[in-house]
Amino acid sequence: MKLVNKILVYIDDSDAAIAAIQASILLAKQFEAELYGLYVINTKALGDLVKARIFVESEREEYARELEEDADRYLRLARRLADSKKVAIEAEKVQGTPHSEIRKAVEEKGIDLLVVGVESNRTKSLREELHSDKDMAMKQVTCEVLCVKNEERMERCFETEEEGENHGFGKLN
Amino acid sequence: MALANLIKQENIQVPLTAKTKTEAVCEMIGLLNKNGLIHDVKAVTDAVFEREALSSTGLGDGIAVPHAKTESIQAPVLAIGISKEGIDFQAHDGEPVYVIFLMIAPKSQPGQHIEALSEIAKMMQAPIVMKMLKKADTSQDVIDVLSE
Repeated sequence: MKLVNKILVYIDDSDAAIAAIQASILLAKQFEAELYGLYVINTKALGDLVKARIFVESEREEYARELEEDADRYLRLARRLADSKKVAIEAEKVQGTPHSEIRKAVEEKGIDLLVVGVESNRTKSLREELHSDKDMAMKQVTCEVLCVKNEERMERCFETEEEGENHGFGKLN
Repeated sequence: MALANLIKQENIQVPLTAKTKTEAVCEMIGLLNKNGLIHDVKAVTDAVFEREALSSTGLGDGIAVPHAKTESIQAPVLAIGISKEGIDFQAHDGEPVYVIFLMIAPKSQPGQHIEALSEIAKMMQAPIVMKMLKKADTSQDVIDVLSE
């Protein structure tokens, strides 16, 4: 029995997300696992910002458009990176609350491993920790979770990846 | 980049010397400029007041969140100002503003900007936090409140 059959990488517009994409591609290749990518357009946050009166309606519409474009840009990047390693990725954007959509995707697709990019220098308050979508998703999903923190190392691993090399992940299959 | 990464002690002004909304925004943009985070002061100031012209970001309960996007910066920046006397920000409840979060973001990375603003919105739902921020006497007090 393989340890991992299906991997989901959560994609947003952070630098850490790019490292997560790279890690997920390398892992998918080594495990010969199916790879999925998910970008969530956070319509809940946009709605909350209008309710809080921080945004006016025209701002919500403008940001929604920009997030759509951003999602397309990052999904294109994920497909290009996967293609460069000859790994297939099924990447999609959805609208909603990130942690709910991540949990839904994990359940619906039968994901074994969720890969999330986390900024390693972040110092968060308890309050923020409780509300962070990524943290909530990691706590709520039933599958294993990999937090990718070291962006530079992942970049090097990805650039130097060669057939048969496992970059310190160990024997995975 | 979320809120915690944007909060820097040197970008917190306690107390604000400003007496008006315009002065307060300019004082906080000036602080970001002094700290080397904003270079085109006019572009940023214009962007903030263009947004304010749509509707005041004086949200009520003594809090204001003026914000804008501009191509003149590369990464989001945040300034926090505490007014001891209160400032008429044309807030929705007509009350003076004591706590101001000024956020300036680049036109790229809208998700990071939204995430940080959402965290401010969530924080506003905790009246005790806002009450303690209003009472802050130093920038370290503000850091302490936001780090709890």
